[in-house]
Amino acid sequence: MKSISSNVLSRVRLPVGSVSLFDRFSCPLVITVGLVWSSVGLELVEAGAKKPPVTQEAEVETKDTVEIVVTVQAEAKAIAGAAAPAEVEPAEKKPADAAVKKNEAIAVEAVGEEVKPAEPPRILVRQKAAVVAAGAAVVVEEVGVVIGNILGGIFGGGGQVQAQNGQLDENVLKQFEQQYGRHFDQIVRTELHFIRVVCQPTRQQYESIASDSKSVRTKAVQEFAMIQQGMQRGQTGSDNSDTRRPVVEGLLVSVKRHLSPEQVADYDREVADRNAARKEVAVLVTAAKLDRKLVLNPEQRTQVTQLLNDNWNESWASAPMLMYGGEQFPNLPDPKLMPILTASQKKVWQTVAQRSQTHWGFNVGMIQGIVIGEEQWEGEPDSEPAEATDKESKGAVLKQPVQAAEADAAANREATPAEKESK
Amino acid sequence: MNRHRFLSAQTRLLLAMVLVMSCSAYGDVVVFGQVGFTDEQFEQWVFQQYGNSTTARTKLNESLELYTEDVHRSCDLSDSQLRKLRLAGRGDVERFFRRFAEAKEKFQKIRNDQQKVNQIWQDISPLQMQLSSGLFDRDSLLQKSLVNTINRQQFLQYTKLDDERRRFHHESKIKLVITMLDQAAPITAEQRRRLTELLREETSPSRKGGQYEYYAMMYQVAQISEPKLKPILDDVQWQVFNQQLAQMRGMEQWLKQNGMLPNGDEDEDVLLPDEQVAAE
Repeated sequence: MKSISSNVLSRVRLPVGSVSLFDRFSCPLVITVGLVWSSVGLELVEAGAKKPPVTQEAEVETKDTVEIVVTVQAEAKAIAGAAAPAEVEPAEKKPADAAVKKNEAIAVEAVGEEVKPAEPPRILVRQKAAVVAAGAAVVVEEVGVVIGNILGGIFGGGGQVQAQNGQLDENVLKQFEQQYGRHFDQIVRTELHFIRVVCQPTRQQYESIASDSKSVRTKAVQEFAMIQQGMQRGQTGSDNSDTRRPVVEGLLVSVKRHLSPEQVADYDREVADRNAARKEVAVLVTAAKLDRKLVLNPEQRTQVTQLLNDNWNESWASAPMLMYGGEQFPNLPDPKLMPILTASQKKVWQTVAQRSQTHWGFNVGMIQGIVIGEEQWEGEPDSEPAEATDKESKGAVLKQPVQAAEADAAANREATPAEKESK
Repeated sequence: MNRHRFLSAQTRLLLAMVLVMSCSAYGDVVVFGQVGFTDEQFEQWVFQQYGNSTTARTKLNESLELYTEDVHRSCDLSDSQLRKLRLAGRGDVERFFRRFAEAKEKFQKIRNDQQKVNQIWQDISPLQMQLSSGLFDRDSLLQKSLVNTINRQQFLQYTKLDDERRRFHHESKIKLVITMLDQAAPITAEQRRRLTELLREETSPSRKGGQYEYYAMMYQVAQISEPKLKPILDDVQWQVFNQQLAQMRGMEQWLKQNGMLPNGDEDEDVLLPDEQVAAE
């Protein structure tokens, strides 16, 4: 999969000079990449040559790695239909031993053979296959780590890669934070403001949610840094490109904790409306792009719109693709689309080769570089009144019509669980 | 397995040098430190995803076929009318390739001069834009020849369907712009509804399609007066929106240069089908 920088600004054509500079250096660049790749190949050969026999796998140090290796072995055994107990027994007892035994038992049960660890293993064809499969799986894993180390070195500023599968490299996290940290700050900031607009919390409530938002932000950054790490290591890009989603999900938990059920319902409803609007626009824009490409008639446009609605995929809402992807289409359900098209349209559609080939990166919207001021609490003293009764003391400085319209309802809301508790 | 041990540092260096020299000789890319560009590179710049002029021509002809089929579907053209439209469409394709040939000729004269090669982008960019938005838009020979090719009844029928299409595209762009603003600073469902209504009233379909249509729409939104737009939003939302719209206001010249906005030198004497109907 071709990966494109996640920043939407990258879709804007490079300035003239940079294009030429790229071309000037493209040849040496290709050669450098080639040489690096050669080195990678040599490293891989070396890794293969030095690969310890499967019986030494238990010497790996971390618990997680033991679990991974054990899992790989158990799966390989299950696939090959045989068990090789003597070869998977770790030299020293690890916390994952129980899991090893359990997996072995499952594998043995699956093939219906009784295993006697005390006896020397009888190497049957199936057992050999299991050993080979397990060994191959581990070699593949090591190759992945070697490539990950090298790519991590290249993209992560030469830092030491610490991670095995499922762990986030600190360098990647640091790099991600540097690139997108401010963006996540803005997302959290604007979402908190939205909660204030919709739910009309008191200042105290708002600050409680704002306090929770710090950990929400941390988790969201880690989630996307993990996706980025996977992409750097050659995994396919995630369909999940909406960076606001984890923030909303996290804040919803906090809203539930600090606000009344009525307020929670308001926020929930608004978020659902927002998601529906997001889907609607993705469907409409994709249908319009198809129309531009295939010159659909009105009936076809309706059918295509319906088709996209019925077969909705979250990845279609990638903002950069909607904004800039003139010739780029998501991976649409062709078997359902084709019957709608005429012969000429089918011919053109079949040559649209760029479907689903590009990962458009994370949806960072257009918020980067935009300065947002601090939340204002005009007319309200620094300390929260003992009991909030009117709309002002509820923390809403409603200067705008939308807020004013919602103020009355806010004033009559039931007290939140936290408020009840404090009373 | 241990073959790499035979590759000493000197051997690797030697291999790298051979590789560099081979690439230089083969692609004529690096000539004693001077940059030179090939015709293939130029075609790649212009035709981007199509790769070269041959593929691009095939795609454009296929696209022409779809357009004429569409008009035929909506107006039930006679064979003679269909032939005329195809001829006009081929004229658009040829006109595009004439402009390409002129740009290529310019490029061939300066391909070894880095500074001047940069200037060629002034010729490449409009070609890219035209290719992206499609050749058969409102300014095309095909569309203009419709006036003289089809009768009034066909004309009305075609205009109705064309308007429907343009409204569909316009609606998608309105909602896209609002969604993008929504992602920057979330708005409520009610605000979304009011913004949609305002944009329907205050903006019009873009002159051209393609990947820059979004910017053309954002530019139009940026032209909406503050007293109409601001009351829908609160202070923080307005702060975010206004900064984005301010960036778009600076794009007028660029959008004009790329044909996304009228630049004032169009041939106003020619009435397009829908305009002619409106005039009548």
